[in-house]
Amino acid sequence: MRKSSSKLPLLVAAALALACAGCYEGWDYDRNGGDGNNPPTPKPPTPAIPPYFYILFEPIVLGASAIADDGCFAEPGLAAYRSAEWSLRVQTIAAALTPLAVTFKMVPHEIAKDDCKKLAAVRGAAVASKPWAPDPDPADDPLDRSLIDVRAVFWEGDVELDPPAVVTSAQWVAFAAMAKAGRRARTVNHFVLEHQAEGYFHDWAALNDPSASVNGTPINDVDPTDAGVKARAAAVQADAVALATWLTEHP
Amino acid sequence: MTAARTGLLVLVALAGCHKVPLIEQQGHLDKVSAHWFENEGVAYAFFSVTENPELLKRSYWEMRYTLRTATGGTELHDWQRIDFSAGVHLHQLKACGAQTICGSYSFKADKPLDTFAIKLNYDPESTLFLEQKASAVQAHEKGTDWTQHSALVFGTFDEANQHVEARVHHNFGDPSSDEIPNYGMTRRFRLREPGLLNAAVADIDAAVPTNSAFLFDAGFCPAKPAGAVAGDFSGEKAWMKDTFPTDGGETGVCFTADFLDKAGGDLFTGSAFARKNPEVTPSSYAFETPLRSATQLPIVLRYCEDDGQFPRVTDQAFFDYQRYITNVPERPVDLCFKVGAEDQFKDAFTKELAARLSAAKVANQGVHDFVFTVIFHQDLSIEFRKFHQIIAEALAAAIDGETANVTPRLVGAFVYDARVDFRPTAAQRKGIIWCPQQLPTGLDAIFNQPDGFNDNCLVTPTAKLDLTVINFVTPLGPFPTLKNYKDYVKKYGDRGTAHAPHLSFSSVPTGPNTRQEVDETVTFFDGERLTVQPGEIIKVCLDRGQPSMLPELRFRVTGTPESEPSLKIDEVAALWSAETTEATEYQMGVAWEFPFVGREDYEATLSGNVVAVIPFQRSSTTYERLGNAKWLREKWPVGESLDICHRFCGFPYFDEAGVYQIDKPWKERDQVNCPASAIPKFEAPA
Repeated sequence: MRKSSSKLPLLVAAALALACAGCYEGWDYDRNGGDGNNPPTPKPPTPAIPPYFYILFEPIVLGASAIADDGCFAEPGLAAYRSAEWSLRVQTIAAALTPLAVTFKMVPHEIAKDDCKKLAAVRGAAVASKPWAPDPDPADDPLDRSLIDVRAVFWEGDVELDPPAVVTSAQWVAFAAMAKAGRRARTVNHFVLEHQAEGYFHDWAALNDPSASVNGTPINDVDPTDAGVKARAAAVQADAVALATWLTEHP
Repeated sequence: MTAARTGLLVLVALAGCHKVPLIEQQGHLDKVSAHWFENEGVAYAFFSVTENPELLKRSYWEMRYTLRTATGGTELHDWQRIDFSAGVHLHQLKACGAQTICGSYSFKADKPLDTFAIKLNYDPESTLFLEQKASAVQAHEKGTDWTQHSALVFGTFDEANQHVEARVHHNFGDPSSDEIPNYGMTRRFRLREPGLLNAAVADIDAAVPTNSAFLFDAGFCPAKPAGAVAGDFSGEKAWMKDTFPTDGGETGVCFTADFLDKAGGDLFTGSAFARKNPEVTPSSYAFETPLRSATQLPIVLRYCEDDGQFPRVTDQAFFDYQRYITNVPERPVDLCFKVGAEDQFKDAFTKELAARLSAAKVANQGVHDFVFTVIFHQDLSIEFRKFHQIIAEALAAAIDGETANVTPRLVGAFVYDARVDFRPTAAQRKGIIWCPQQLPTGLDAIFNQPDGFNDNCLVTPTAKLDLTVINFVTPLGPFPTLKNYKDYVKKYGDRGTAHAPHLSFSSVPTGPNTRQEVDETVTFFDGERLTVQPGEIIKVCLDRGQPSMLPELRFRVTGTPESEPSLKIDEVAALWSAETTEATEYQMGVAWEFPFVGREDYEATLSGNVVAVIPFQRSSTTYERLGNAKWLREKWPVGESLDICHRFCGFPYFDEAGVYQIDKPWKERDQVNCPASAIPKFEAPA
């Protein structure tokens, strides 16, 4: 669930306030990424000292072969739209979270065509003891900052399958092991799912701890115009900012 | 150089015996060459001097030479003044360059010339002179070889191959034959007994000596008795008065040439053969375009009204314009589409195409093919091109399915979209014109050159030109994008948009004369045959006619197995360059990938202001081309780019400058260009 703007850091709030200072019937000029016709794009926080020692970002999305397959992705007209959206989400979140950690590591899990009804790759990610491989294990932080595993799911529809417990557990194997070892290892979930669907990912999302979930805003009513595509980009950017802001507020 | 001095100083005296400057003179003898021919017992000398002519007004020439005796010694003929009027042939000194004088002399010599020297004396009262010895003397012994005659005679024909002109080749080598007239020597000849002869090419070829291009002596010509003079002339060439018929199969005219001295005395005699000019005519071959008008099958596609996105992705004014410009202003929507229902649309559209085509075939049994005219109305973002793909794939499949059919059949499709985001694949573009398309970079520069422009239907953004005095707006093309249309109408009302539109298509009917080859289709034309007769040669002329059409042509030798591909112009040109013993018949056709051409005629209004005050409007009739420009040819004048040689193709020819290329057969002439031969016209001898 997206957090309300009242909890935005002062920096973000101030930036938005400044952006709107001279507005008339929209936006007069670009202060923060807008083009005069659209609202300026919010920017994520950029703290001087990273609040986290390590962030592992694990986005789960359909791969290109699966998107192009009617059996995996039933909305051929939305294929390009969703591809662009998910790619944009991954890039935007990576850009927003990178400044928040001493070490930022992204390990994407692209579901292939043959796996879209089984999701073995998701299970594989859950049980991986060293998901960051071949990079070395996260070191100890002299400042004792947290290590965060951001599990992100971007999905259209859902899969008629029950998620295994190892997937829906609060922490996957690697981070659970670090927590058990006394390290400050936590997991945060960021799901963007179609709101009316049911299945694997919706069941998983329902089992997630709300206090450890910062979900994005699903774009259910797709606007196929150029303006709609621009609005999507703004929504995606806002979700990434919200996630980064929440992490900043919850070290 | 053996001049007696290298730096002659001439004292130029001025009246009054004042001190005068010394001027260094640069006079020198440039050339001295000498030849002796035993056949005629005549020695020839050629020389030239560079000097101020003012200094030679009282000059005279002397020569000294030695002859080889039979005992191996030499016989000296010491310096003696040259009397140019006493030569065996006519001689005179001639200016042959800037401050250069050339001269020649011939004299009787019964023994081989061994050495030769010449001296130019400036003045009888002066001791100043220039002297030079011939660096080499060529002595030609008696014999019948072509090198043993000081001159060769050959004949050429006029354009009608009716009259013969005898021509002289001076056979000294140095100077060349062309240079001899500059040295002031004039020969005299007598021509006898000309007669047509059907000499065999093999005999002619055998008579051309090794290392020579000249047909001399023409031993295959029958011996003729003395008498029956056909001409007596002096100089380099002369027409014979005889007129020779051309209806026979003779290859040329034999004649006898007597080489004379200036008084008419015989020096030697030879026989010559004038080869007829190659009989070359441009071809008049041309065929009419096979194009026939095509029947349009309009289909109107628009985003579904029952979808919530409808107001955002449609524009009624532009939808009306799309139908108006394609001549279906009242046609309702045939099919609608919406996001999320792509599969349904694909199925419905495919069925619609099949149904429309089937109905059209029932209604049209004639010779007219069909073109789908699709109005595609939507304003979807670039990420929603699934509908475009469905339309392109379905149209391409329908067109492909008709490829093997005979007329009437579906030949292509024209789609008027609202945006430029989509471009069909290369394979789809063979049958589909998708409008509008993004104007490629740089293409605007040649936009006003329709002949160099094939694929059309462009985005032609409105240009607002400010010429200070006259400001005006150029009209939109007939197929603008929705955005361009809206911008234009918003700024200028409807000024400049197309009026009185008329969309039309034509196609190439297919039938028994159409062949499907590997990557193209070829249509051959009924009754159009090119027959190459035995002995004929055809040249392809890229410098004439419309050579750009040649690559489009295809040829088949009648009787060629069906499995063999048709021949392209370069392949058939290779066949045409060799004479055959049997007549060969070629079918001619045109290769094509894109079987139709379209055209949108409309009225455009140029609007503007003069001095920003006085408004004006000016209408003009214009059009935009659609499809393959090759079909715009109403006639295919293939013959303009062909030269056909009917006879004598292996004989020499006159080039475009009128030079007789005696050592080059016509059939080996330039294989790419066909400049016209400049053949001398007959001038009756006095």
